[in-house]
Amino acid sequence: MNHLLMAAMLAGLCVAPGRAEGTYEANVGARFVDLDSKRNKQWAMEYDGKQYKGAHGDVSVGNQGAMGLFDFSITDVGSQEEVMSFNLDYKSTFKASAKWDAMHHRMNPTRHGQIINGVWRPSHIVLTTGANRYTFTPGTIRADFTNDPNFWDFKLRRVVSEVNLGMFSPSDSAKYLTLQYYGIEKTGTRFVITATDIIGEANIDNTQHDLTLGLGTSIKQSAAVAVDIVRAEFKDNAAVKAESATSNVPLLPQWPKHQMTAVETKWRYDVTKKLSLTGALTGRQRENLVNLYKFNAGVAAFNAAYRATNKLSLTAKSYVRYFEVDENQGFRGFNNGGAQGNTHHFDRLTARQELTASFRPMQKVRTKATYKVELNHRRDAPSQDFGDMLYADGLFVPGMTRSNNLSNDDVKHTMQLTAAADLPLDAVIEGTYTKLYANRPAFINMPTRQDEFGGQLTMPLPGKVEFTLGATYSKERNANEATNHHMTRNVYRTGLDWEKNNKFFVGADAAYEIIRYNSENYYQASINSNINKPHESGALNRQRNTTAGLHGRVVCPKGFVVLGNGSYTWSVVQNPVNFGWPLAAAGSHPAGTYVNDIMPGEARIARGTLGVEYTPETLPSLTARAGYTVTDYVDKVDSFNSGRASVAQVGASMKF
Amino acid sequence: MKTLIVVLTAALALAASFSSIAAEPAPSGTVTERIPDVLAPSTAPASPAPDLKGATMVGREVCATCHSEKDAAFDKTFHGRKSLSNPKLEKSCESCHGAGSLHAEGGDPALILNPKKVDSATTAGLCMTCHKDKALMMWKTGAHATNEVSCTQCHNIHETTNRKSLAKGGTETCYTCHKQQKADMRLSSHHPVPEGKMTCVSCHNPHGGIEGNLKSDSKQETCIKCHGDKAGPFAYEHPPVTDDCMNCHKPHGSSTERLLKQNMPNLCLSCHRFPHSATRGGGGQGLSLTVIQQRGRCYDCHNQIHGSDRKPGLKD
Repeated sequence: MNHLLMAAMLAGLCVAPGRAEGTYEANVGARFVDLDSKRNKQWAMEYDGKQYKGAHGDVSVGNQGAMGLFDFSITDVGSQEEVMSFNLDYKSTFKASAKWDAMHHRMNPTRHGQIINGVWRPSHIVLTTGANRYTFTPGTIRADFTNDPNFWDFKLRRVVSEVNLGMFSPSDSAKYLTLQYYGIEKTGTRFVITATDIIGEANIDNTQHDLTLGLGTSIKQSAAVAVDIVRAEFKDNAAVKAESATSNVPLLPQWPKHQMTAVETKWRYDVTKKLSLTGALTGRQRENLVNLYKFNAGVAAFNAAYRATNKLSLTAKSYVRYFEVDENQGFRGFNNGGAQGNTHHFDRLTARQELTASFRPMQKVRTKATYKVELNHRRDAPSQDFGDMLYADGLFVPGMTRSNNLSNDDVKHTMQLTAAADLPLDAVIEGTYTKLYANRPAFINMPTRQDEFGGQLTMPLPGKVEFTLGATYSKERNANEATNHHMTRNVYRTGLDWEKNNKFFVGADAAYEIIRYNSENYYQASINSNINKPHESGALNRQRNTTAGLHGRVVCPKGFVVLGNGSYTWSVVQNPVNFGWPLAAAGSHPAGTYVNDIMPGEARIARGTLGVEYTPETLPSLTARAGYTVTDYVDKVDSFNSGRASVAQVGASMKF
Repeated sequence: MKTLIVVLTAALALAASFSSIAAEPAPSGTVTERIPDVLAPSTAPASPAPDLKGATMVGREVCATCHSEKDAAFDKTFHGRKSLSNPKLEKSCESCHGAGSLHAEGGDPALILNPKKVDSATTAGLCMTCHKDKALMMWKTGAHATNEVSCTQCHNIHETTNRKSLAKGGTETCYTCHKQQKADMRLSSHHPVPEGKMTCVSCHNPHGGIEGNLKSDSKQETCIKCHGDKAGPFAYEHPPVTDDCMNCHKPHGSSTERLLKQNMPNLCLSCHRFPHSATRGGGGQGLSLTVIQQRGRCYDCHNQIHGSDRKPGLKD
């Protein structure tokens, strides 16, 4: 970070001569922030944002002149989520930029449970003991958020760094030489649940570095080519923690170190004034340095856009991707009794062809038809078979009954028809129909048939108000397998935007979505005996999401600006089932136990921000700001997951 | 190694050539003459660039006599700031709008090039006389171009000060059309887009990519760019992970944890019909009530679900 800052400052000084002909501007801001949080922070503050108490500051400097352009800013200083950016453009010939961005992501435990005999019961999870930790009995997490506001509060800190250097031809930006560094560093802790019902704390410490050399050139005005050569490395430095003091089982093993080399080429060629071609060719090899397995992948793309007449244009796209895993047969998996690693990774070849015709029969009507065919060939693919005979639904199911098998080719045909028309009063209506037909699915929870209908109406109303209304209905099923997998989805959207002028803008929108997944599920009472497996013939996963939002910005007289936004989300997830065990099972459940829902959830999330800015007419370089933000997360099923965070801030910024 | 030497030599040669290129004058000809005559794939029949033959440059001051508000705001825009050092913008307004003498004489809007009023392909042709870098390489065959989305629908040159000249700032520009993604981002599980720590262009290239509008050549590589720990290749793979991240995840938002399509155990059971029962390598404790109570979430045990070098059961 310090190196980047110094580089930015030095570069700023270098470009300073530009000030003579141009202008210079600096902004300095400071604000005081107060955070108030209640109960569980996981969902109310999943991404912390800038929600820390204390004084935060921003500095930005920019200038431009005959020599070029320069910008530097560092924002949210003191918040632990600083963002630095730097840009230098020397006569459009030499460009340098850098970015540094920190973020925190909470990874706290989220409790779940089941409805059993009509009553919701949390899962059996035991918290470990130790400083700042508590000992609990199975089935309970007694959260003491009042006395311990950081109760089981795990944070991952992610820092993204990026540096770009480039030399460009000022007369043709397609000719360039660039060098990019991109890095991500993740450190912190996350929760993990172990095989013995204990929530543990696992370390996170990994880094990722990408170095990309880019070259580009053009051939006259009609063609250009760009080549990127990428070298990437991922390394995990986390110290592995044991599950307990007496166990050598790690909470999470280290992620394997791997390296990647890739070459990516893109090109374009305007053949005639009516025909444009683009394409790409990429290749990469990623090697896991622990097991020495190699992942080789390549992509070839070729696209053509042709304007046949003033009413008809045609687009064709071809995409081919293959990947293969080059296995190391000598690798013996540690913690697996020295057994050989899997040497049956599957390889995949995808070939896709897409043809689109856009036709405008008249000025106010647009139509489009797309046909897409995709072939997936998977070699040496594993299949998931039932190795032994089992008893379900009063029948003996033979062993080796195929469930998921990737080794056969699948072919998908997709057709899409779209029509849009301009209506009176500047309204626009659009409808889309998409149909999928596949000979077989790769996985049994994928469709072989899908139909989707969509429609949208956009209507300008008096007073620069725009109204939109849209709906989508889709239905899919796997027609090949006895699992009876099917899904339906209904979505309704609406919005109202009022943009009176560039000083007054308010908008509102809402969406309602309901998704239903169904598939055959079997549960286990005993292994391979003549006792029926509890069977849910159409086990349902139902998700109902309702969201609504408001946003606006109003420039008021006397230098005041009011801005705000807010949203409300109501999500319900249900997995209704009805199976049970009439007989008691040793060590597990009493007789007469019935399960009614597995992991139900209901979240209600309210988010809101209101801010006011004031710029005195007599001192236009000064702006004072005040704002309030609140996020309220309510879990109606399990209050353990509920929490609230509110942030109040006041501050000012000054331009120089 | 030889390849690297060849590449570096070519790079140095290209870099050396920039010193001579830098001295090139601004391109000649009027703006409309410089727009490439490649209109594919638009079907928009009307509003080509106006014929400005005979028009001459009048200078920014003349434009400002009528368009004073736009003139005052222009210096703070990115194009305004660049105009001081980029010869392509030295004609200021007329660098993009064409020679203005005919328009200035009577104020006829038909005698000036207005990128917002011409068809999307013409506008793109105008913008791409300067903007030719690799991010725009696939524009003409990309989804936005083929759906006749104009540059000016997302970019506002006159009234914005951000470097990308985006009309409504980052994500709001995309949400204008992609309203379902806006709704999805409000669900409990989402990428940190609403919090401002990611934007749509963290994953997408709106100007067209190799695979759809993604920045990488495939969906998997897009995800691995940040989630390197899931990349593998692992000694023990989970086939749907190797196959496609979207088999289990909804990247724009979900009401279930970790951007999953369904919550557990349903998501897993939709493929693993008889978990712990008689599956390959099977046996084990079975998904009994005890396991359901303790293990509603399959990944509580199988916490290496993206692949493992330790155990075929994808756990620690």
